[in-house]
Amino acid sequence: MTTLAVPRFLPVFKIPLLDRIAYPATAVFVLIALVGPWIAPHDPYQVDLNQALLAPGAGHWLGTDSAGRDILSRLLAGARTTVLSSVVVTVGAAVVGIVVAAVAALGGRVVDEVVMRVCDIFLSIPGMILALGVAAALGPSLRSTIIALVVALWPAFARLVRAVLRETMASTYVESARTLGVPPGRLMLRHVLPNSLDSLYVQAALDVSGVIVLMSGLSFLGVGAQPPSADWGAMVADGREYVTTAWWVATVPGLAITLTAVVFGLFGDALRVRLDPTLGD
Amino acid sequence: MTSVLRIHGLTVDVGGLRIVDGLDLDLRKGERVALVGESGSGKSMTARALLRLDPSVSVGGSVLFQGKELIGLPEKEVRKVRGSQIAMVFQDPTTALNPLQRIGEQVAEPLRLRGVGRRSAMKQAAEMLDRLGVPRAAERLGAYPHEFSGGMKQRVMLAAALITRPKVLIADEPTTALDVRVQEQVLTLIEQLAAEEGIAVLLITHDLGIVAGFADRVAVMYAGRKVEENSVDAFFAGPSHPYGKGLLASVPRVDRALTERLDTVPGVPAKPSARPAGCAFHPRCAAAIDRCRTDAPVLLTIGTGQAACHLIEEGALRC
Repeated sequence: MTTLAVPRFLPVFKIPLLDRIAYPATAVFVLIALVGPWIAPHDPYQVDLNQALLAPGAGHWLGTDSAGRDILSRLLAGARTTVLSSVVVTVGAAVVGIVVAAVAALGGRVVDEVVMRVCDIFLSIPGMILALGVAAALGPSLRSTIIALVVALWPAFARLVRAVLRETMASTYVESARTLGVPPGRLMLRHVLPNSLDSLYVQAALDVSGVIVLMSGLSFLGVGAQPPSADWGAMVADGREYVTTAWWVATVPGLAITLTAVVFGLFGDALRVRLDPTLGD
Repeated sequence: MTSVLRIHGLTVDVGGLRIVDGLDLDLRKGERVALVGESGSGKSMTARALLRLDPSVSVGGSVLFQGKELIGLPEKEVRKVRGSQIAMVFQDPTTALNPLQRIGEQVAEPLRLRGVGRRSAMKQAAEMLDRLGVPRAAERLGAYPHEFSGGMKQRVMLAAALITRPKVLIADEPTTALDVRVQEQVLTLIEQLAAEEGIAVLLITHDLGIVAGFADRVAVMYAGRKVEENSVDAFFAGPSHPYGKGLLASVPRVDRALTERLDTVPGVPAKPSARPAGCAFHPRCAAAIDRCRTDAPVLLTIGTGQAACHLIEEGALRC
């Protein structure tokens, strides 16, 4: 079993090591997102055309962009928008999903059927297209992308949580609480939900990683955070024109997006190994 | 004596199949009644139907609790009866407690639901656990279920069920998952508390050994119907119905040699989807006569009890 869960050609990913990498790395990234703007060596919005498109070096460790702004400083400032809004999106989608799932699970057959078919309709539209449409309709801004992504992502959570809720509701202790006269609302809040959230934590942690990519994608396409705010997706878009002459302008934020997504992905995996008793040794 | 719970003509239908077919049963104050039968005979469904635990199941007939009709009550009203008037404990105590909630809170919950303050509810929970023989009960209110053994968990379940001083306790195979010594302890506790508080107990079981030691009266179910009911003494002295006789004959006995083969009731229980015409038991009955294949027998009063069998009427069966 263990050999199946952990690929042998990747000895690095033995479970304890995964924990050792994933948790500190996640902590570091969250910390950067929180304090990023204060530890930036330069003002991320200081335009200096004399310093435009400088290659990475002593003065500007990761180089400067077309307006002469320090890329490292902009990365640190943008970490907050990117990482924190991704967390906000994931938490928002999870909360909406839980509420919808709880309504479906408590509401009887007809309510359940209607709610879940609405979920199916949402799920049938590719997430990126749906988010792009909603964000464009709301007008390009960071707030719009957050709302758009919550709209695109809640059905997946609702479906997952509903399945787990139904399983928990069939357990003996829930039945037993019901025979003691516990009314449905309290039953859901005190007995069913607390026992159902493990798989949700894993899904949420894994989703943060995807949301980081989606958010950057929306910014890249121009419906996200607007210039001059430092946003990783927008920074990649800015650097696109100079890819052949000043590769670092687009590459550095691109790598930051990739690295952050990988770290949060590892975090989700580590959490899954810990919370899922069928995995790990 | 007055009936606390009077079940009359109870029917339970699940997906178009009649699982319980016209059950009559009386429970008097402080009385312990055992409902026995093979798996699938409808005994558990009867218990669940009394508290209307399955919304998708249609329940008919009449259940009078202290003169109040429970069948047809809206869910909200039934909820008031659950826990406070009629309590129920389940088969497997290891899964019947919320793993994430402290013991004290779970035992106190029925009281809290009825507006009792937290401190008072916790105090009563500790008292009830203490009465049920949980050592150092007051200190252990903050413990989680995984810190308790199976027998202790069943005591916690009982404490939660009995803390509101219900009039009726339904125990659905409450000791099946426990080892024999703990079974005996738990049953003794139920017996004591029921006697002290005047609680009527409906024990659902297939273990005739437990019935003999615990119950005052026994009702035997077969294929959704009551086929026999009698005082425990009379039943164990000699059942009236061939099915009751068969059940009793298949209990292992200490006064027989181990090498002797156990008697069994031949065949398998009748499925609700293919219930035989006439007496549902006739395909498995060695003494069946022609009438058994066509007419459904009705309950006849015999001595202190009742039995539903044509052979009794025909005088072909001695009772």
